[in-house]
Amino acid sequence: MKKRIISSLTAMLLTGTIFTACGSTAESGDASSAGSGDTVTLTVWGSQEGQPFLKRMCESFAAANPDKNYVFNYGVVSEADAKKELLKDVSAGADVFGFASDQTGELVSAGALYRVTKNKDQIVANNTAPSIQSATVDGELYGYPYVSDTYFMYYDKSKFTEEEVLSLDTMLAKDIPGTTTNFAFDTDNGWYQSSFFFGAGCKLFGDDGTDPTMCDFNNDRGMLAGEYLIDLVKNPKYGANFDDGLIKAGFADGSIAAAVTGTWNATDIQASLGDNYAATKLPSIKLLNGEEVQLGGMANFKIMGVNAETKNPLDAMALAEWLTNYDNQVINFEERSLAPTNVELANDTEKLYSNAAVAALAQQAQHATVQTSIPQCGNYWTPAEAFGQDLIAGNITRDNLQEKLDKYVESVLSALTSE
Amino acid sequence: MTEAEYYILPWYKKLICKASGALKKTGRGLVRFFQGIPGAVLSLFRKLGNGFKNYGMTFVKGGLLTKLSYVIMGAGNLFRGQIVKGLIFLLAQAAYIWFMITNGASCIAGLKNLGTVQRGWYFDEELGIDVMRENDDNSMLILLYGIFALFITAAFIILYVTNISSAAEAEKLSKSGAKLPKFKDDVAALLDGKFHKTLLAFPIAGVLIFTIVPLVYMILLAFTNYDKDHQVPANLFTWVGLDNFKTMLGANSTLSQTFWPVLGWTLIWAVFATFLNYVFGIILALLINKKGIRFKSFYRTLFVLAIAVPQFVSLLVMKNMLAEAGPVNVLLTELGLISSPLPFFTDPTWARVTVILVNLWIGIPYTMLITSGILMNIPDDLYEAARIDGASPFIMFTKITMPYVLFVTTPYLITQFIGNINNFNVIYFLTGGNPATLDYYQAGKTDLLVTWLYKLTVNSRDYCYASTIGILVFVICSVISLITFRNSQSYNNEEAFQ
Amino acid sequence: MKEKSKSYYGQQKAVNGFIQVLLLVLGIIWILPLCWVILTSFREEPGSYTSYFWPKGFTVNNYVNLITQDQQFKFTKWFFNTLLVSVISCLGSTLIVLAVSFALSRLRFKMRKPLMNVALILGMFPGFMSMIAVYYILKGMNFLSNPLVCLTLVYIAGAGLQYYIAKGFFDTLPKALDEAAYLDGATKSQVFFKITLPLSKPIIVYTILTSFMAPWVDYIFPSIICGSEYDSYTVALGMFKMLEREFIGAYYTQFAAGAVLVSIPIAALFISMQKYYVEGVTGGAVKG
Repeated sequence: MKKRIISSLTAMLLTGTIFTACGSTAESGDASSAGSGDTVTLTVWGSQEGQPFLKRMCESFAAANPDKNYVFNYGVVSEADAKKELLKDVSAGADVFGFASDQTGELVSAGALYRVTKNKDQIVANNTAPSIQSATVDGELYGYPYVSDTYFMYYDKSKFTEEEVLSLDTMLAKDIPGTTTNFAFDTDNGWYQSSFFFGAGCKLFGDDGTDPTMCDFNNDRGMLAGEYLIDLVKNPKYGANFDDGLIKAGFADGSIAAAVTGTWNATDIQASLGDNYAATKLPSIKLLNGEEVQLGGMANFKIMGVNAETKNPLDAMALAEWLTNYDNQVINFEERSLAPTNVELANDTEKLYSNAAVAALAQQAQHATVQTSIPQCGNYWTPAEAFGQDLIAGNITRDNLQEKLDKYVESVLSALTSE
Repeated sequence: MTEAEYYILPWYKKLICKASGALKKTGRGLVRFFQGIPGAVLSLFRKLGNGFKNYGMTFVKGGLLTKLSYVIMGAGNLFRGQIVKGLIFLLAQAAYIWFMITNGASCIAGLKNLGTVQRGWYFDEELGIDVMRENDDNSMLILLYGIFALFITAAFIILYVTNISSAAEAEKLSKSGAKLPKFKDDVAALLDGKFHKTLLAFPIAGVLIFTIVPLVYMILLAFTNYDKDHQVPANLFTWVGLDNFKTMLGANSTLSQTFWPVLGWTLIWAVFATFLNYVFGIILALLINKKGIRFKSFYRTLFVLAIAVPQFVSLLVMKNMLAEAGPVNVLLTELGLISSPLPFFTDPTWARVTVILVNLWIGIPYTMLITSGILMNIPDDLYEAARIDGASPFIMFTKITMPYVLFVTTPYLITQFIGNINNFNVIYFLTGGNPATLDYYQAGKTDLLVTWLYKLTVNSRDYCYASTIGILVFVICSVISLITFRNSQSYNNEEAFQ
Repeated sequence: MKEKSKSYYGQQKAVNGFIQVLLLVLGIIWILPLCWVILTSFREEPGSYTSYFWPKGFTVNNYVNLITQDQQFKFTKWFFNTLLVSVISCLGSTLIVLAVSFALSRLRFKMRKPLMNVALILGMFPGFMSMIAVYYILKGMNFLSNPLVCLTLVYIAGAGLQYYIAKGFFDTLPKALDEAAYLDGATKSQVFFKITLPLSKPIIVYTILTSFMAPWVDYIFPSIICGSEYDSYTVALGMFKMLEREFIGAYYTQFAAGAVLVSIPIAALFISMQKYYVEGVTGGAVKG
C-alpha cells in the first residue's frame, strides 16, 4: 500500500515538471521580445572544423552592432546533420544554422525554417541565381546561401595532359606505368552518379527540378547513360567504388591518376601531388550512339537558415545575413577554400582562379544541375545508391537495364502507400 | 514407437523423428499460449467486477468517515489519528485536481484528434517580417503529454482505491478496539513485511517513466499517419486505425515488398548467428579443455580479448579491414592469393555471409567462455562409462555434452536468439544495411528489421511505419520466447535449486 | 592389450597435435584485427587505407596528439565524461538490480509473477523508436541542458529490467539460510543486507562489470541526447565523429589510438572479472 503511494507520488512529482513544458509549447512563436531587450542570446550551429571561423564571424557581428549585447552559444552540428538534429526538436534547435541545400524541402515542409522577407530583394540580388533557387520553395525564400558546392576532377599533371583530361575515354585508354586506376569515382553515391544521367540529358523532377512526378532516367537517354556505365564498371582502369578515404590514399601512393571529389579534399590531395596537382571540370564521355557529351553534375549549396521558432527573429535574421555577406564569404574562400555564392565574389575570376580547386568547381558548376529543394528529392539517394551497388556487383546487364531503370525511377517517384 | 525401435532407425529418420517431436511440442506451446488468452481476459474482467462490487459494498457498509473518504481522500485515516498517511492522501488529491484543471484535462482531451490548429503565419507590420500565429498544435507533443496525463490518472485511481481500503481497514481496526498503526509502524513494515515494496518502488518508477511511457507512445504512433508528409511542427497528424499494418503486411505496397524479404533475412540471420555461435563456441571450449592441450589459459585469454574490446571499436575495425581496399584484401593480394579484391561487403550474398562470419568472431568466445566452466563440471565417469561402451567422440558429444550444456544454457540461448533478431550493432556498424537494392524501400540486403526501423526514423522520418515494424518485431519475439520459455526447465522449475 | 593402448595414445598425440595447430591458427585469426588496430595506432602515415599491410614508419604522436590536442576532438574530456557516467550509473544500476532481483527471487508477494512477465515483454520491444519520447520526457524535466545527467539517469532507470541473471543467481542460494534467520526474528531487510548480499559477490561484480561497460559502447542513445553539446559527448559518439568524411583521412590513425586507449581499461576489467561473468550468466551453476 505504502509502495503504491510512494511510487505513484514519485511518478506524479516527476511528471509534474514535464507539464510545465506542456503549457508552454505555444509560446515559442512569440516575437515581441525581439528588439527590446539589451541582451540577446543566439544559438548558432556550425560544423566542427568551421567553429573558429564561425566564432570570429559572430564576434565581428557583435562588434558591428554595439547597441545590443549579443551572447552566442555555439553548437557543433555539421551542415549535413542539420536536418536530423533540428527536426528532432525544432524548438530546442539553434536560432541560426547552416544546412545543405538538399534539406531545404524537408525542412520547409516540417516548418523548421523562417521565411525570409526582410531585405529579401537585396539577398536575392547579392547571390547567384542557382543558389537562390536552391533556397526557394514555392516562390518564397527560406535561407541565405553562402557556399557553392559541387564536385570536379583532380588529376596528376605528370600522368595526363590538359587535352587528355577532356575525354574520359581517352583517359581510360592510356596506359600509365605504376598506376592501377586511371579514373576514380564513387559510382554508388547518387550525388556523383547523377553526372552520367544529367550528362546524357536526363532530368530529375522535370525541367526546373520541382515536379515530384517527373524523372526520366529510364528514357532513351537514360538507357545510353546506363549502357555506358555497365561498360565502364567493367573497365579495370576505372575505379568504381572510391570513397574519399580511398581517393586520398590513392593519390598519396600514386595508384590513381585522376579522381572526382570536392573542395574538402583539396588540401590533402595538393599535399600528396605537390607540383603535379591539378583540378578541372569533369571530362566528356562518348555514348554508344557515337555522341560526345560533357558529364554533368549536381550543384549543391550551403545555406544559412533561421529557426522558425526562434525567440529573436530579427536578430537571428541579421546574424544570418551577416554570416553570409561578401566579407565573410571572402574569409570562407580564402581560408577554407569554400566557393562563394555572392555574385560579386563569384564573378571576380581573378581572385577565384588563384585557387585551382575553386576554379575547377566554378567551371564544373556551369554544367551542373541545381539540386532541387522539393521534399521528394529525399527519395532520390537510396535508389541511386542501390542502382550503383547493383552496377558494381555486376547485377545489371544490357538485358535487364531497362527493367532496372524503370524500377529506379519508380522508387524515386513512389509514394509509399501507392501500389 | 518403442525405445528399441527408435535406436535401430537410420540417423536421418531419427532426425525426422526428433524434428517432428519438436514441432509437436512447439504446436502444443502455441495452442497453450493462445488458450491462455481468453482465460486471462476473463479473470481480468472478473477481478474488475469484484473490484466494483467491493467498491459499492464498502460504501454501503462503511461508517461516516469511510463514506467521507470516497469524496475527500484520507478522511478515514486523518480523523482516526493516522495524520501523516491521511495528509499524503489529501495532498495527492489536491495535487491531482490542480493538475487536471491546469493541464491534464486538456491534455487528455487532445488525444482525440491530436490537434486541430495548424501552424500559420501572418505579416507583422511593426517588425517588418512574418511571425507565427500563436496557439498552434503539435500533434507529437499532444500525444506524448496525453499519455502522461493518462498515466497520472491511472496512478491517481490506484491511490484512490488504496485510500478507500485504507479507510475501511482503519474503521475495522478501531471498531475491534485494536491500536491503529502509526506512520512509524508503516515505515517499519516497509523494511520487513512489505520490504518488496521498498525495493521495487524506485525501479518501477524508473521503468514506468523511461521505458513504459515511451513504449506506449511508440505503440500508439503505429496507429497514426506520422510519416514524412506529416512532419511536426508545421503539420498535424492523426489516427488512421490499422492502415499502416494493412500497408505493411498487404501484398502490393513498396513497404510490404520490403518487409517480407527483410523479415526472412532477419530470421535466417538470427538462426545462423545464434546456433553457429553456440555450436562452434562449445566445440572451441571442448578443444581448449581437451586433456593434453597445452597453454589452456593462454588461449582462453586470447579469445576473451577479442570480446573484451568494446564492440563499436572491433566492428568498425572489422568493417575497415574487410573493405575492398582494406588490409585483408591487401594482405591476400600481397601474398599472391587473389588478383582482385574479394567483395566482402559489396555483393549481397558475400555481405550476408560476411556479417554472419564476423558475428562468429564476436560470438564464439562468449559461448566458449560460458560453456568452459559447464564442461568441466560434467562428471568424468559419464565419459568413462561411454568410452567403455565403445562410444565414438561424436556420440559422446551428442549424447552427453550437448544435453548437459543445453540444460544449463537454454535461457541464455533464448535470450541470444531474441538478442540477435534485435541485433542492431553488428549490422549498423559493419555494413549499415548495405548493399542497397532497388527492390527495397530505404533498406539494403543485410538490413534487419531493427536497422530498417532505425533508417526509417532517421533518413525518411516515417515514424508510423517504424512503429508498425517495432510492434511486429515484438509479436515475433514474444511468440518465440513465450513458447520456448514455457517449455524450458528453468521457467517451470524456478525453485529446483533452492 | 598393450599394443592397443600404445596405438591409442599415439593417435591421441596426433589428434592433440592437430588441435594445437588448429587453436594456433584460430588464435591468430581472432587476434589479427586487434593487432591491426594497434599497428594502425602507431602508424606514421595518415589515412584510413594503405596499399600495404605493414606500416612504413612508427610514431607515438597519434597518442600524444589525441590526448593533448582539443581543437578538433576533445578525446580526454570525452574519456572522463564517459568514465563519470559509467561509474555513477554502475553504482546506481547495481543497487537497483540487486533490489529487484532479491525481491523477485527471495520474497513472495501477489504481483511477483505479473511483474516478471511484464519485464519479459518490455525486453522484446526494439528500443530505438521510444528514444525520441525519452528525449522529450527528459526535456520536460529540464535535464537536457546536462546530457551526462540524462544518460546516467536513463541507464540507471533501465537497470530495473536487467534483473534476470542476478535473480537466477539468488534462486540458487539455499532457502534454509533465510528461514533460519527469520526464526531468529530477523526482518526481511536484515536478511537482504546481512545474509544475501555478503553471499552475492559474484553477481555484484558481474552487475558492476556489465553496467560499467554499457556507456562505453552505447552509440545511438547518446547521439540523440547529446546533439549539439560537443563538450558532453561520450567516447563512442566522439570517436564515431572522427570517421566522418571531413576527418577520416587525417584522423584515422588517431581513431585507432583512441580505440586502443578505450579498449585497454575495459579489456583489463573484463579479463580480470571473467570468472564472475561466467558465474553470473550460468546462474551459479558453474563454479569455475
